[in-house]
Amino acid sequence: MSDDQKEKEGLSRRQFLTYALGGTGAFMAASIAMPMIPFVTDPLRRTGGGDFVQVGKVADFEVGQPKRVEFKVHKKDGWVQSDAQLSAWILKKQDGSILAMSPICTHLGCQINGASADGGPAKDGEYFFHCPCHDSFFTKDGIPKPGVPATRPLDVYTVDQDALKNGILSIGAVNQRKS
Amino acid sequence: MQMLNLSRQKLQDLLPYIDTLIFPVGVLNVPNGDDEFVGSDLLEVKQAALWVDQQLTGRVFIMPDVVHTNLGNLGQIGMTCDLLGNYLYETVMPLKQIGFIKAVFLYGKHTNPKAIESAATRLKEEGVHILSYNVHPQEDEGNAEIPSAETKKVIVQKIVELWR
Repeated sequence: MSDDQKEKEGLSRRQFLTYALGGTGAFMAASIAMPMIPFVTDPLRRTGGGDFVQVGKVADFEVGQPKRVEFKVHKKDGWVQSDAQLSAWILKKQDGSILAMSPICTHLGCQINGASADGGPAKDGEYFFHCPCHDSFFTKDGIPKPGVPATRPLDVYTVDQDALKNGILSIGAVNQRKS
Repeated sequence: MQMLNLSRQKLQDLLPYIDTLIFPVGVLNVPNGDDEFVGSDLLEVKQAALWVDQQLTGRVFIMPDVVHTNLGNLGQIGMTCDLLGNYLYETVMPLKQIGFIKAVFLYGKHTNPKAIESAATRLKEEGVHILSYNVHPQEDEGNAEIPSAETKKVIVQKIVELWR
């Protein structure tokens, strides 16, 4: 059979069966795979970005002076819904960037307190944060004092950079910093 | 840390860092004529304990609840003051032997403070550092939230003072 004859007759029976079986197989595979996609991508979507909570305006913060902010996060766990009261220590740096630190000590999870030794503004290199449980100290950037029980810097909240450009401070998920 | 949520291994790892035991002490029944619901006293005490756990989790163990009935006299229905005082004393003393030298009794308005104080006095004589605190003081009566934010703050401050 010449090529001209094939084109005239359209699909052969073999081609039709091949396409039909292939299409059916592809449809079945897609039916199985589609529900799995959210399971695979959900953890990726949760880390780093995700939901942000507005905690103030950038202008509300003084350069080099950590300030504590409190905010609520709505949590939904099955039928149980609640508003968790959380807090963060915000440090506005000289270059305009923002460091939003978790108030949880990286040793065993107690809440840290923040204050300068003399009660004045936070100074560079001074240990500003103190954990009352096991006496860990951290600088105003959240770096632990050598030799204290805490070995990791304070964890940081993700800062919404888009909102920051508009002068709004919004924070999201908590991320660990390396020692 | 809430002791009941820890694995055996985790508990072992934490022991060197934890020296303070928090005992929520609460009444289960409701005294006659009181319009509160059953367990409200215990609920308030547990909420205070949970707050302490959030703030100072790395150095405290939240112990299982010490639940008692309304305190009566010997021979009447209910637990006597002496029985609760002895119970607390006998609970803490063996734990002191294994290094828990600080204990905090958080109790509500329906627990007789005499029972707590009798245990606290005897434990202090044995060298245990004790703090006992009523999470529902008279001045908080009528507050929408009990324990009040101020009371919770004071409890944490007093525990930190106990460590100094």
